[in-house]
Amino acid sequence: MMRRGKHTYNLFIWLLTIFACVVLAGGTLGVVLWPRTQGSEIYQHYAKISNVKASFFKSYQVGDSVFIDVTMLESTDSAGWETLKNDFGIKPLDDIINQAINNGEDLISIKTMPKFHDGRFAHDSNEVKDVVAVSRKFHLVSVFHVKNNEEKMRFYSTT
Amino acid sequence: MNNTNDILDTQHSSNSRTVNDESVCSFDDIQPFFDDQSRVISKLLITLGNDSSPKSKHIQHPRRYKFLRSWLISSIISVSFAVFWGATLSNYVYDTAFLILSLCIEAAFVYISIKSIAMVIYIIRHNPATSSLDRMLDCLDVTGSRLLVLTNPYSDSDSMLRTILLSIAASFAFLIVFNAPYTGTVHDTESKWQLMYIIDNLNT
Repeated sequence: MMRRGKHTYNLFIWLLTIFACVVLAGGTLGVVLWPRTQGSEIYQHYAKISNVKASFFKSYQVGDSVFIDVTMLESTDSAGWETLKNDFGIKPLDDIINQAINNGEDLISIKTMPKFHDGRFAHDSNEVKDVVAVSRKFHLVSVFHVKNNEEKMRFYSTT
Repeated sequence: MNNTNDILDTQHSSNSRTVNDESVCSFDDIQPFFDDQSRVISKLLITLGNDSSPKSKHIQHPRRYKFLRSWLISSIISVSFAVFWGATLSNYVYDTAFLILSLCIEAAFVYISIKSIAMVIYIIRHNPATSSLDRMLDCLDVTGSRLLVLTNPYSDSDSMLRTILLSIAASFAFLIVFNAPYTGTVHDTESKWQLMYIIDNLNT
């Protein structure tokens, strides 16, 4: 009788352990596999363009206290770079600076741009503009999606 | 006087239970190994494991606190490492190799943590409360007894397997908690380096 009770108790403990494991592991798989909209609008737009490699960072930590969404766009060929230059209004440089870049130097410029909605940069006076950093050497465009002016100020003060 | 140095008190008190003489182990027996903590603990576990009535074992002051301290420190370190590892690697969760590495290392840390905490609770449970600190620690006993059932410090094959399973599941849980703010992230390692390069150069 005692033996059967112990056996039942052991079985119960095993079932409890397995249940806990299934709940935890199932929860994780659910989080990973659950379909969701990934990235920003601008990421989704450029992810479809073949000669631009798009990446999106959710809540990327800059400095100690700024957590900001970032979209990174990298042109994979000259056509992609031309697309990015046109879309982001990247102006041509002087010959001297171009020569320095060809010699291995880099120039990273920073500007603000309206947020990207419905396939274009739509200006809205109520919205805070995004911060865009451009690396001329690596043909990279980083879009920092700031949520409000306070975050923008903290981002500027950190960088 | 010798009794004060005994790591396992085998004296009978008015309300103590029967003592199995075969399991008596004095501090002198294990003193040569005392510097090597793991061996001492192994010996303690073997001694306790051979005892048919483990509740009769009372670990005396101040030795028991050395064990408690050691186990508590190892628990804290293990948990800290598990949390640190989860937080550090959560950025790379979509990189399969990092995910597997993260899970393995976290599972190892969590395994050590669970065993350490179970051992601490075991020592507390099987010693009578003799001071306010003891009584305070006994508060852990109620929840600890549940943990002990799942992860018996005797380390028989069943409890070890259960602990390993729980460790892996707990590691998944760590990843859920630390990855939650990053859901929606889509990038590879190269992009991350590029972003770090941009931010570093903005700083300069």
